[in-house]
Amino acid sequence: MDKKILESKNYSLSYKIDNKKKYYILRNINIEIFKKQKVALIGESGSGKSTFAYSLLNLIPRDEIDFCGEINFYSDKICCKKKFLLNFSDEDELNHIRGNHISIIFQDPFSALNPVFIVGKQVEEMILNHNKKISNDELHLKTKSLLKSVKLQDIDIVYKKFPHQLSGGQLQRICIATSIANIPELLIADEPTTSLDAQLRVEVLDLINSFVKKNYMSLLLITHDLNIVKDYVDYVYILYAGEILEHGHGNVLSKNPLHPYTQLLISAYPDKTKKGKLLPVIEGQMPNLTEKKFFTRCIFFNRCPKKIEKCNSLVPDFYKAGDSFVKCFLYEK
Amino acid sequence: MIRLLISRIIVLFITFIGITLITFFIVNISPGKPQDVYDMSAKISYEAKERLIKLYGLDKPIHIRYFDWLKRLFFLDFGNSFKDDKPVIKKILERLPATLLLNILSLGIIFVLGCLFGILASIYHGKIFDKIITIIIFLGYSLPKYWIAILCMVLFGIKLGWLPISGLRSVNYDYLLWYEKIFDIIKHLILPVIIASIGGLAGLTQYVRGNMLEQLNSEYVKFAKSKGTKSFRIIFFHMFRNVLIPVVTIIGLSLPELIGGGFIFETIFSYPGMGRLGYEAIMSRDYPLIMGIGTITAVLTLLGNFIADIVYVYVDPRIRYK
Repeated sequence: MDKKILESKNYSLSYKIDNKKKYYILRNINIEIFKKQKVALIGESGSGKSTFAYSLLNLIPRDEIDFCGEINFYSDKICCKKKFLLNFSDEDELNHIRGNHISIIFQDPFSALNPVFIVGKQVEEMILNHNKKISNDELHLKTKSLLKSVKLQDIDIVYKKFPHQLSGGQLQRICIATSIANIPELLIADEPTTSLDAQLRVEVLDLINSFVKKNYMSLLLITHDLNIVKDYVDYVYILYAGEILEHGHGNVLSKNPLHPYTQLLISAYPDKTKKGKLLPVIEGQMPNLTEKKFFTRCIFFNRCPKKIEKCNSLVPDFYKAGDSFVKCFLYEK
Repeated sequence: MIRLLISRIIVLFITFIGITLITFFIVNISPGKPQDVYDMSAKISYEAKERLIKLYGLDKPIHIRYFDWLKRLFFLDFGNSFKDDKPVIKKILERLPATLLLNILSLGIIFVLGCLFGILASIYHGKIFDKIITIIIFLGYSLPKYWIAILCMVLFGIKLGWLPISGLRSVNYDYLLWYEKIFDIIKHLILPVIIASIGGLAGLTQYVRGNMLEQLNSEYVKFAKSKGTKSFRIIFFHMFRNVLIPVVTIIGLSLPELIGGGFIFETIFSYPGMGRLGYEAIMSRDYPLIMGIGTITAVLTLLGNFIADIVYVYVDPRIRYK
C-alpha cells in the first residue's frame, strides 16, 4: 500500500446565514487519499462536494464559516513531513501549498480564468508563484511546453488570446495546464467536464488521467456522474447532504451498490438497457441542513424506499459489507 | 476598431447638434430678455429698447437666429458679448485654463482616492474602517456642495486663516518668486478642488467598494488563490483590473456633473473659471456668451466621454476584439 497523503478526520463545516441560522454543509467527513490513488467524490448538487474541495485549499473566506475536525496533508516534497491543518493562519505557508503541492481544476473554465489577461500570462503566474528565480526565456519555454502537453494547437497564437476568444475545451485544457504546472502531489478536479460537450468530456478526463499517471500524482475527482468516472478512479465516496453514505472501490461500487441512495442514484442514470423506459426519480428533497433535528436520524430517511423503524431514531454507523463500507442499518451485523 | 471610432464620432456630432439646439431654445424662451436687464439700473426709453433689440438681432424669428448662430459656429465665430462687446471666444479662452486645471485635478483626485478608498473599504469589509468610509460616503452624497463650501470657507479661511477663500491668485502674486507663485496657486486651489471632488469621490468610492466585493466571489479569484497568488497581487492586479472597466465609464460620466457643478461653486469661491463666467452671463442674459459657454462645455463633456470610450476599449479586451 502506498503512503497516505491526505486525510480528513471528522471534518465538519458550517456556514452562517444572516448571522442567525447555521447551514451544516459538511458533517463528519472521513476521507483518505493515498499516493498515486485516484479517488472520486460523488454527490448531487448541494451535497457539499465542491465545498469540501475548496476547503482543502482553504478557498472559502474564513470569517464566513465554522469548522471542526482536521484535514492533514502529508508531503514528501516538504522535507519535514508537514501536517497541513485547516486553521492555517500563515498565509505564506498556505500559498506555498496552493498550486505547488495541491492544485485544483475548476468546474467552469469560462469563469475560472481572468477575462482581462491573456491566457499565457495566467499559466505563467502559476509557475512564477512557486519559482521566483526562473528566467523569462525559461518561463516562456516551460509555458509553451505545458500548453503543448495538454494538446493545444497553434500554441503561439493561443498564448496571446484572451479567455473570451477561446472555446470551452481550449480553456479547460489551459486550466489543466495551469494546475499541473508545478506537478502537485494532489490534483483536485471539481467537475472538470460539466460545462463541456459530451464528446470533449472523455478527452478531458483522459488528459487528466494521463498526467496523473505520468507524474505519480493523486487525484480527487469531484463529480455527480458515477458512470463516467468509474473507469478512471480507484476508490469512490458517495456524498449525500453533507455526509458520506458509502465508500468502496469504484468498479465494485458501480456494479453492486449497497446503500439505497447509491442504488437509486445509479438506476437514475440513463443507459442503453433503459431505452424507452422512464428513468426512476428519487422522491422528495434533500433535508434542510439548517435544522439540527435531521442529524439525529439517518440523513436519507425521508427519501429512502427501504427504511426501517430504527432509521428514524438512530444514526447508523459504517458497516462493512463485502469490500465496501455502508452507512445503513440494513447491513448491520 | 476604426469602424467603432467612426461610428462614435458620428453619434457625438449628432449629440452635439442636439445639445446646441436645445440650449439655444431654452435660453431664448426663458423669462427675462437682454434688453430688460437695463431696466434695473437706469431708466431706458422704449425707443432705446427697440434699438437694442435690433442691435442684438432679437427681432428675427428664433429658428432663423439659431441657423445664423450655427452658421457662424461653423467658422468658430461665437459672436460678441452683449455686455461689453468683446468676442465671446476671447472671454472664454481667458477663463478656460483655470477651469480645465480645476477639473483635471478634481478628476485625478476622484480617480486615485476613489479607487484607493474603495479598495481599502472592500479589504476591511465590515470592519471599522469600512464603516467610517461608508459614513463619509453617505455624508458626501447627501450634503449640498455649496453648503460644505461655505462651511469650509468659514472654518479654514476665516476662523483658522489657513487658506485663501477666493480667486486663484493673491493680490501680490506678481511680486512673488516662481516657487512662491506655485505655492500660492496650490493654496488657492485646495478648497475648490476638494469641494469639486467630494460628490464624485463619494460616488466612485462606493462603486469601487461594491464592485471589488462582487469580484471577491468570482471564480477567477478562487482560481488565482488556488495557484498560490499573494493576496496583494490578487487585489491590485486581478480584481482591480476588472473593476477598472466600469470605473472608466463612471469617470467619463462624472465629467458633466463636475463642469455643471462648477457654475455654483466657482461663483462661491470667486474662482476665475468658465463656471463663474457662465453664471454671470446667465444673470445678464448675455445670449452669445451663454451659448458659447454651453458649446464649449458640451464639447468638453463629449470629448471626455469619447476619451472614456477609447480607454474602455483599451481596458476591456472583450470589446477590443469584437
